[in-house]
Amino acid sequence: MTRSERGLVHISNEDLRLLMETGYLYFHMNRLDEAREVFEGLVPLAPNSDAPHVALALLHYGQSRHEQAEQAFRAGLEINPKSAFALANFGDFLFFHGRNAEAMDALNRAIDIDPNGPDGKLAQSLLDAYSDRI
Amino acid sequence: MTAPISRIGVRTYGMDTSDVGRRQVDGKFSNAMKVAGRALGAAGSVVAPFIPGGSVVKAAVMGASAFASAASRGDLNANAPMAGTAGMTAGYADGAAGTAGTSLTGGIETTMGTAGDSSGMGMMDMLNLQLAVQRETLQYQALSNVAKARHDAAMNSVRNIKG
Repeated sequence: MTRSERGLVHISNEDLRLLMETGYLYFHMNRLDEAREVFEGLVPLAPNSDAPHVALALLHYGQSRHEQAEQAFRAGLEINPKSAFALANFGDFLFFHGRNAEAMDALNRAIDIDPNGPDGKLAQSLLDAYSDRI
Repeated sequence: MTAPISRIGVRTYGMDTSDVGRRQVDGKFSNAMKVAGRALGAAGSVVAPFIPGGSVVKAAVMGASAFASAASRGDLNANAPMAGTAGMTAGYADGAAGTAGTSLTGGIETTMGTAGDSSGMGMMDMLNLQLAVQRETLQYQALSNVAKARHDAAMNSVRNIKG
C-alpha cells in the first residue's frame, strides 16, 4: 500500500471511527465549525472512504451551502460510486431541490445496493416520506 | 313538591314550547305513570334474558321506569326525553329528571350533540378534524422514520470507516 493510498498520516481505523463520531457529535450539538474542522481533517486521513465527504456534504446542506454540499456528495461518490450511504443522502438532497427524477434514481440505486441494511432503509424511508411528491 | 330542573341543550325540532314550563302533575296521572312504569320495568327484566338484544331493551325499559318515577314526583318537562324511546329523544334534562335521559342511543345522540354544541362544531367539522389529525400523524411518523434511518445510516458509516 503506497503512502497516498494509506493517507498522509497513518491512523488506525479505531481512531478514525472516534474522530468521525466526534464530528457527528459536534454536528448534533450544533457546534458546526468544530464539526467541519473534524470532517475536513478526516478527508486526507481516510482518502479511500466516502464517509467524511458525505458528512461534510450533510454539514453544508444543513447550513444551506448547497453548491458545496453537492460537490462534497459528488466527491464521495467519486471515491465509492456504490456507496449506498452517499446515494441515499444525495437522493434526499436532490429531492429537496426538486430534481425528482435524479433523486428517485439515486434512492433506488441505494436500495438495490443495500436492500436490508441501514442505508437501504434510509433510502426507502425517504421514498415513503416523499411519496406524495413523486 | 316540584324539584327544580335545569335544562341544557334542549332541542325542540320545530315544536313551539315557549308556553310550556314546568308542570305540576296531578295525582291521577302520577299514579298511572307509576304503575305503568313499574309494570314495564318488571316485564323488561323478565323478558330481557330470552330475547336478542335483551340488555338493550332492559336498559330502555329501566329508563322508562325512571321516567315514571320522575313523573310521579312531578318533575316532568315537555322537553324531557321519553326514556326508552331511543332515537326519538329530542332533548334531555339533568337534575332530578336527568335519570330519565339514559336511553342508549338517545344518550349517545345527546352526548354528541352536547359536544358539538359546546364547542360550536358540527359532526362534519369533527370528522374533518379527525382526518386532519390522522394525516398529520402519518406525516410525523414518516419524518420520524427518516430521522431514525438517517441516524442508523450515519452510525453505520462511522463503524465502517477505513483509512
